[in-house]
Amino acid sequence: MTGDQLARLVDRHAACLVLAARQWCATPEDVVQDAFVKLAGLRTLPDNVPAWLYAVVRNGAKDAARSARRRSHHESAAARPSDCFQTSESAGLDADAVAAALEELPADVREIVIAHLWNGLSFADIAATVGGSTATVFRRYRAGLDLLRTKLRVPCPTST
Amino acid sequence: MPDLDVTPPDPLAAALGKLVPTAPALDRDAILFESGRAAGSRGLRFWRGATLVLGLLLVPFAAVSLVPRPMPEPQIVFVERVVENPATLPYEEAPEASLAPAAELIGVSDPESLLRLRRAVLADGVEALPVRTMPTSVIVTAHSPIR
Repeated sequence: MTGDQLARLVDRHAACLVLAARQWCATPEDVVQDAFVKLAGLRTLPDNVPAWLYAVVRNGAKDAARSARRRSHHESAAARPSDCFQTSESAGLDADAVAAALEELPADVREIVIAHLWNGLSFADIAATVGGSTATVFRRYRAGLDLLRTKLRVPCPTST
Repeated sequence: MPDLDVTPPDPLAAALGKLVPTAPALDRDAILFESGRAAGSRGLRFWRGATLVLGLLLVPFAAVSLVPRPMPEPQIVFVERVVENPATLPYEEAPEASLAPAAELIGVSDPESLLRLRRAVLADGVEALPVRTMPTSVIVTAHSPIR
């Protein structure tokens, strides 16, 4: 992999991977940086680079959280919800409110919502990473959207 | 099974997707530098590992060559051999000195005559040798034509 290819991947995926890593550890940037260094060290690029990066970041973040818990004997603090998004509003949605609502989702649902909406993973890729069937992952995703809709007080889309 | 990724777009999902995650405090150049350094150290690790393995393989050979081996003691082998020692033979009278067969050919019968003839040959050459009559079947002269 050339330096330009690596730089393009960093520009494209780093922010979303940090958002995903924030769910588990307090040092998401370090985890994401390690993931890119590992990617650069591969002899051949994986077929699905975003899915590979997400899986590596996920595992690295969980390992970092475990290490932090062992060191400090406290629950590792994830990033504050207000630090998640740089835009303040999107289509009537307040970024801080969205971040807070995401924080309140169950961990497995939040992971699927972030992986699909911001990391661009398909439901099949998510199922391969977190385990379970694609249908189960989709159901949890829909459940997550419904929960967010409730918390953000967004009206349900009219059924056609 | 329908492709779940191609479902009717949810307005909330679309709005959420437009929120841009905070730019991470990642230094892209630092990532590139770390990647290059990791690649270099990987190559170094390979050669270090190969050196270690070869070194370990050489240890037994070095141990064998450095341990002094006892020199084999020289073995003295006694072989029985019968050697005739002239000094131990019973005394025998020396045989009479006989004239060489060549002296007999030139008609010299005694050693004194042989010495005289020898002196003559040394002084005058081979012409001093006596001419003896030999059977004609044996004599071949140089001047006889070859038929």
